[in-house]
Amino acid sequence: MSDINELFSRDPLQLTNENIDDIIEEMRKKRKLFENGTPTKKPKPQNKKTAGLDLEIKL
Amino acid sequence: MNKALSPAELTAHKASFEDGVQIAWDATSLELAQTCLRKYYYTMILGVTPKSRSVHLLFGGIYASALELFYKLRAEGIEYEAAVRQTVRHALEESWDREANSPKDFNDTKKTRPNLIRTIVWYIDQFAAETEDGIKTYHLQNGKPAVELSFSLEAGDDIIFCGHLDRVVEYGDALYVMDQKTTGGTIGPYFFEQFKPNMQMSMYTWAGQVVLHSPVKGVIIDGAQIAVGFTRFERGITTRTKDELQEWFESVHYIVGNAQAASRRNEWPMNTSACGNYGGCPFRLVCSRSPQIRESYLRSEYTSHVWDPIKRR
Repeated sequence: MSDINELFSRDPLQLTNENIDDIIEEMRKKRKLFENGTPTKKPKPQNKKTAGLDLEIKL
Repeated sequence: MNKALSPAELTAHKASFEDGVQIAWDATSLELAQTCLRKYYYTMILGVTPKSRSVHLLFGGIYASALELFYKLRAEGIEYEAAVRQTVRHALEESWDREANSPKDFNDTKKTRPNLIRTIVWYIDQFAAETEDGIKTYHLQNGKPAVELSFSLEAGDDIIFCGHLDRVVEYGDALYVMDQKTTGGTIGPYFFEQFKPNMQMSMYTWAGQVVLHSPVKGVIIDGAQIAVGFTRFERGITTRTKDELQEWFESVHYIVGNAQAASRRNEWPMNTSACGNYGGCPFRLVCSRSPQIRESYLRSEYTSHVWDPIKRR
């Protein structure tokens, strides 16, 4: 299977049916993982308390 | 505002206008006129939009057109996997900037191009199968599937209501229009509360009844929560009684009359209570500037965008 990121960066007019099928298959794999409860990446939470202290210092 | 040019001159190229007065109205232009006449002026009369296109419009527009294509292909008898492939290809092409030879700039952490494709594939795999006890595409009296239904309907007072129904379905013993919405937030019961009262949903229901000569009960809305790593779908239904549609119909005539009068006077008051709606009006930065410098700001930050409701897709 072609690298998915590379497929997304290619002009769609240059994509073959097999390329499109690879993309679809990748999306279906992600769905299976999600439905099976595989944790997804979460953005790192901001330290709000520290941010608040920074504001006080600036003041 | 470009007082040098009259509404008639600014809209001479638009089929939905006569002498600067809009006569053909869709849900988008009705919502603009209802929200703020100054916003309506910038969008429909002057015909401008921010240069940096909203990711929500980009993502939502391609998503809706992709699903419409899928159902159209299936209605034509195209085999399921082939339809999925063509639909994904369509979405990839629509999200490609041909001039720049690169993907269009989505500029968002959730509504990205790969997540658009993910959402399309996941939606089709979850909802597309038609079963006897589930949702089925309705077929018109001529046997054709009720997909891609454009309408232009006389609504009295020399006004036309126009628009486009992506798909009409049978569910239980009733007919509904189908619509798709995307959001970056979690979809709870409150999400569907925004659709009543709602201009677009009332118009879809009314138009469905008139076009099909059948009692379309309302709209089934498929909401898609677009997160970084997943898409989650929730389905809701909004209905309209005969009395509610009558009330809507009368209200719309008032809104249209107001906008038409503004066109004739070339006077476009701001509704400053609406500036913060939905993350902020796209023209807020224009209206917050002094009148003498608005035109130069419009020229630098906005681009021409013709929205002509009566022109069929």
